[in-house]
Parts: sequence; structure tokens; C-alpha cells
Amino acid sequence: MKRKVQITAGIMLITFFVLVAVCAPIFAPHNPNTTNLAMKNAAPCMEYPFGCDQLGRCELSRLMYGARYSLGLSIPVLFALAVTALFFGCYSCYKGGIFSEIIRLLCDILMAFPVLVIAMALVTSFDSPTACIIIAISISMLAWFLRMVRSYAKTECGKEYIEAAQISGASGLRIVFRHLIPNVLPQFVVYFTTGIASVIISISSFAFLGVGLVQGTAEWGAMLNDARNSIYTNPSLIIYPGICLVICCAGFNLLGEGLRDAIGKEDETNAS
Amino acid sequence: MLLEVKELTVSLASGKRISEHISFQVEKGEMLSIVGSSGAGKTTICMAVMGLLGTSYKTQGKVIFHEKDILTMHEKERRQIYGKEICYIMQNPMTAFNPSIKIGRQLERTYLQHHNHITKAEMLIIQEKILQKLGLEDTERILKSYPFMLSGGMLQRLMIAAALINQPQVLVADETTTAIDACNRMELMEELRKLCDEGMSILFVTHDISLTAYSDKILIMNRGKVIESGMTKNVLENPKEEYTEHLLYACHLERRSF
Repeated sequence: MKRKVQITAGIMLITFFVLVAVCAPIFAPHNPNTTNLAMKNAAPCMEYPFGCDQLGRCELSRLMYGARYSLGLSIPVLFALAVTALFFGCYSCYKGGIFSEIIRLLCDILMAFPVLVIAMALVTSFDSPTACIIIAISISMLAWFLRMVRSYAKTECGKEYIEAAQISGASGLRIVFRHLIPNVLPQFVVYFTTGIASVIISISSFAFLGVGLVQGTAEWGAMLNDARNSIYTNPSLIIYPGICLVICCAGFNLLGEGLRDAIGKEDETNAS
Repeated sequence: MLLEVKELTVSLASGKRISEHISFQVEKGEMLSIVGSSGAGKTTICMAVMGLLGTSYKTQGKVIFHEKDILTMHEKERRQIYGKEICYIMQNPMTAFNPSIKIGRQLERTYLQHHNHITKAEMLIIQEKILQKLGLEDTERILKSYPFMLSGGMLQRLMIAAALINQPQVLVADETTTAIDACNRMELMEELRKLCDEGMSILFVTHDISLTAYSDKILIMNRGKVIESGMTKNVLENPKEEYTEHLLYACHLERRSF
């Protein structure tokens, strides 16, 4: 029962933010970048429901457009990473040998660098801020994804049904696609959803530190950074993007935890 | 000669030998039993015959099937033989099926691995026939269920069904009867015997010497070596080795304790 509530709550929160991000141009009351200096630090009113920031930009519109950066970057990038990790992780585990060792070594090397360090190193060599963020996230997350997939795949490879498939004459690729990936997937989906939450936070922390995105972009992390100066005069500017970040990440984490419990339950019933 | 194993020696990378100089022959329509207590190297032999031993093992000797050595064969060629000509029934039925695919679909894929595409109705007929042959009723429900929804005994028989669906020439059965109750075990042995009489060769591995009564030839193993072999009747009636007598005695003792 509890896990059902968790999963439903998670899905509802995620759907809400996805809808907001997709429909931002329709629902946002103002352009997020139009400044109106007469309304500097304005309190919430009918025209500006969440008030205005220090440059007189509509806070609500900026929050709505902010969802586009967080979700629009993290979900597609992670999805591509997940597909790559699933294939290479499973295949290397199944084949073993030198290929597997190379992948393992690569993971170890990539995991040694914190994501922020990579992003800062890249920012000097790339013109496009989004490309810099995407590459930094890819480098740091791919290693973790590959590691997870490989550990799950190792367990599955030891099970007899893989042997059974082998002796029924199935080829390596067939075993990977038909037997290994479908059985690794449920556990991996859990890791994937929680991974999205952590990537949303890293994107925001890049923006907060000014790495990557252009100054003044309507992104939650960047908004937090902008609002730092008015922490005493107008603290609500810090609270709004903060709450958005927390709720959005909570949505993905709730879904992930709910799914993990659900899968765990299934395993228990299998065993008994 | 259908299947011939010549001087098969399996050792670990460290040099420790698991089985030494194993030789036997299986003719068409013949059932050969390999008997021995746990750890005697029975399963290792099966795995070696099936080419399943990983790189951590070293295999010497020959496994000749239809005048070709399977051990030195190219992988592609080998894939044509496994599952089609030589089938293996695994020891543990609970983990031998892919947990995320329905039984019917798994049987279908096993069949299609070596056959051309056929219609759904034709597939269903083949599956039902083979399940009924193995004494499984309620075929419709079984084919639509996932492995974890079925009992160990049922899965054990489905395992055999999956092996038989491609009508192999040689069947390697590794402790196939352990998960089945005594009554069904007897029926299953009779079924295996019938398959033999129809021309299939069976390599039957067991620790229960009483089940070997169904086989033609017997091979008794202890600590990786063959200690006695011959026609089942001769060996069981006049055992020459002490270990064989011991096995037979243990079997009698088990009976009497009821």
C-alpha cells in the first residue's frame, strides 16, 4: 500500500513538472526575460502572482521556464546514457575477457573525477554552454551507470537460464538483448529515476556557480544565485526556486524508491 | 557411434584435476547412466560435453559427435549442434527459465532457434503435444504463466519439454529427477526409457543408483575417476568394486528404513 502511494505521488509530481515545462509558453503570464524596472522586487499581486525579481522579471514565468532546463536537459541525456550503458554493460559482462576489463578500467578512471571539476575544465574549451553541461554529465554518469548495469548483469549471468539459452544455440547478441537486458532493466530503472534527481541538482549547481549557462538564464540554480544578493531584502526569491528543486527531485526519488520496493516485494514472493 | 568421449580430463587453472581419463560411448537408442556421490565430477563431465566450461577450466581429450570433435569445433558450427542435436536438461529447474518471459514464449523461441517460422496455431499444437506427453495437463494455463508461478516439479518437466521440442539425437540429463516426487519420478523414467526405445540416446546423470535400472549401460564414478563400468544388469548384480557395493547397500538401507 505504502509503495503504491509513493509511486503515485512520484508520478503525479513528475507529470506536473513535465506539463509545466512543456506548456510554459502557453501558461506563463509574461516573458521570463522581459525586465520591468518599475516592478523591482515587487510583492505578489494579480499581474505577478509570485512577485518580481531584482530586475523586475516575472518570478512565476521564470520558474516555469526553469523547469525546461532541468527536465529538458537531464531526461534526454540520461536516457541516451542509459541505453548505451545497458548495451555495453551487459555485452561486456557476458563476453568477459579484455573488452570487459577495458570497460571496467574506463569506469574506474572516469569515476575518479567529480562532475564539477569536469564541467569547469570543459567550460574553457567549449563555446556552447549546453554542450559543456551535457558532456560533463555524460562523463560522470556513464561510469556509474555502466558500473550498476555490470553489477546487475554479473548476477544475472551466473543464473542458469543464461546457460540454458547458450546451450539451446542462441548467439551472444541474442542472449544480451532477449535475456540479459530484460532482466537487468527493472533494477536499473530504479537507479535511473533516482539518477535523474541527482542530475537535476548537478545542473542547477552548475548554474548556481555560473559554470555553463549564460548569466541571467531562467534556470532554478541560476535564479538562486541571482537572489543571493537580496537574501535579506526579498528572501522569497530564494525560497521559490529552492522549493521547485526540492519537489521536482522528491518526485523522481519517490518514484524510484517506490519502484525499488515493488521490485523487492516481487523477489520475496519468488523466493517463498 | 553417435557420441564418444575419449580420455576426457578436466582440470582447474591451478592444475587440480576434477575428472581424469573419462571415456565412454553412447550408441543410438541407448541410455547410459553415470552414478556417483556428490562431488564425483558428474556435472563437470556434462558441462564439458556441452562445451559450457568457462575459461577457468582446462579440458583435454575428445568429445566426438558424428565423427567430429565438438571441443575443437568453431563456435558457429557448435551452435548448430547444441539445442538441435544435443540437448541438456539442467540441474535446477527454478533458475533455468528466464523469469521475465512466459513459458509458452520461451518454448517457442527454443523451437524457432533451429526451425523456420511457423504459425501460432501450429506452434500451439507442437507445444501441447509435448506437454501432454510429459504428463502435464492444463497446458493452456501453463503456457501462459511466468516461471515463478509454477511449481518445481512442473518446471522440471517443462525443462525436459524445452529440451525435447527440437527432437535431439542426444539428451544429457543432469539430476533431472531430484525435484520430482517418487511416483512422478517413475513415470518420468519410463517416459525417458520410451524415448530411448524410439531412437534417442540419453546420458543420464544421477546419484540415486536405483534409477539406473532403466538404463542399458552404467558408469560408476568416484573422485573424478571411473571405477566401474559395463552393462547395467551385470554391474548391479555382481559389483566388482567396494564402492559400488557401498552405493547399492546405501540404497537398500534407505528402502528398509521406511
